[in-house]
Amino acid sequence: MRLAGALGVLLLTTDVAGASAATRPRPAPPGATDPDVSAAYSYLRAGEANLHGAGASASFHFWRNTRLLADFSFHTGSFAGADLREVIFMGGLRRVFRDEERWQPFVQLVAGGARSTTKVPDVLTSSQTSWGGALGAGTDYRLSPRWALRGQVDYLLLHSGAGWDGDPRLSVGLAYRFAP
Amino acid sequence: MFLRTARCLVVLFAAAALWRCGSSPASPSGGVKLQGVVLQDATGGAASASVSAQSAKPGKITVTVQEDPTISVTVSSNGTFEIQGLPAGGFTLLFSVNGAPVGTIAITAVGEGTTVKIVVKVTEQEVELVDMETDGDEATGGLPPSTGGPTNSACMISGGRMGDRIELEGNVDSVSSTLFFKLRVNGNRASGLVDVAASGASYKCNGNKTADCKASLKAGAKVHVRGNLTNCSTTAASVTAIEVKIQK
Repeated sequence: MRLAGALGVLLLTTDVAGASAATRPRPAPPGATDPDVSAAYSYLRAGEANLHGAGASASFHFWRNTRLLADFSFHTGSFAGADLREVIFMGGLRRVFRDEERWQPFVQLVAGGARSTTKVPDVLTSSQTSWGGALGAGTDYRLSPRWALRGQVDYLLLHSGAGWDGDPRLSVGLAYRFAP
Repeated sequence: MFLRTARCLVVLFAAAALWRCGSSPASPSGGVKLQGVVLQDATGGAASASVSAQSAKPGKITVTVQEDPTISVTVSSNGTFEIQGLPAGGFTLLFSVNGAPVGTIAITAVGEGTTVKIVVKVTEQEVELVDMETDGDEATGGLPPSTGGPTNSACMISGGRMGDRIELEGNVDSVSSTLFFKLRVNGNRASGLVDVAASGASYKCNGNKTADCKASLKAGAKVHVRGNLTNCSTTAASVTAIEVKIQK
């Protein structure tokens, strides 16, 4: 009898505990409309030079599956005895597909500029700004509601006094989605 | 699930297909490879305070090999360019800005398999060789100049090694054009005349900063040459000059 009473108390308290947990407001997991940021290793083929560096981006929900995007990357390297540096700053739109799935591919179109600096140590420095845009595609692989692995390929079309240049860029990194 | 994953990959491959569209190293394989950087609107550092004075406005720069005008490349916006399959022995590069030729640089006595790296400054009036390196020459056994190359006894210039930078002082023996001259090196440092290709070199005249310095390059002139030793044997040596200082 005592055992049955104890079990009854246990079941009741468990039920009450479960009910209270269910009624307690839980933070909603981050969704498609929440902003995200990313940081990545970035490779850029600038002219004939192979440059390496880092990139960062932030995106905000804009309309349906479309997000506003800000993108920044910084690359350095050397070629033919000269030190090269290129900073790319762009903004635009990103369209995300299958936003609630584990694999989330996206395409993006951005416009902006690039500042390239060429330096021959202790002798000369030359800088130039190019303007244009980039078409990119990539995918997120969701590790959790907040975190994702991101791989991305961009093709930059930039114009300067030297004419048009087409430079591919590859980046691999992590993306973080903020909760509301 | 598989189809969805495949779709993701198709998107990535489509973008990757664009990967190499931006590069255009002028082609045939073999021979000599040239990697170059062109500086425009350049400003000088401590070692070269006057270089910004005549910088050209940015323009589309093309580099054409005079010996084979079909070999031509457009310099990218960050100034880099690459040409492959250049003739061993030597070649002359013609630099044009917006279609107008502005100058030439002669690279002489380069061995098969060599990679020549040059940095060039382009102004409205001329092309100036700022820096030059060579590596991978067959004669050095494919080793970088700093680790290989002929020993001093195989080079007619004492202490000279192919691919290395070199500074020589002496008198101009003869001038075939403003592009080339023969140098009689002071003392016993060289056992013969040294060929100097000076088309892209910057010229400086001691005590004469206003007149056309290049015109002062005559037989008998005392000069200091800074450049790159592109070839050296017991009987001949060639230097591509980066700077020629004419003493008197």
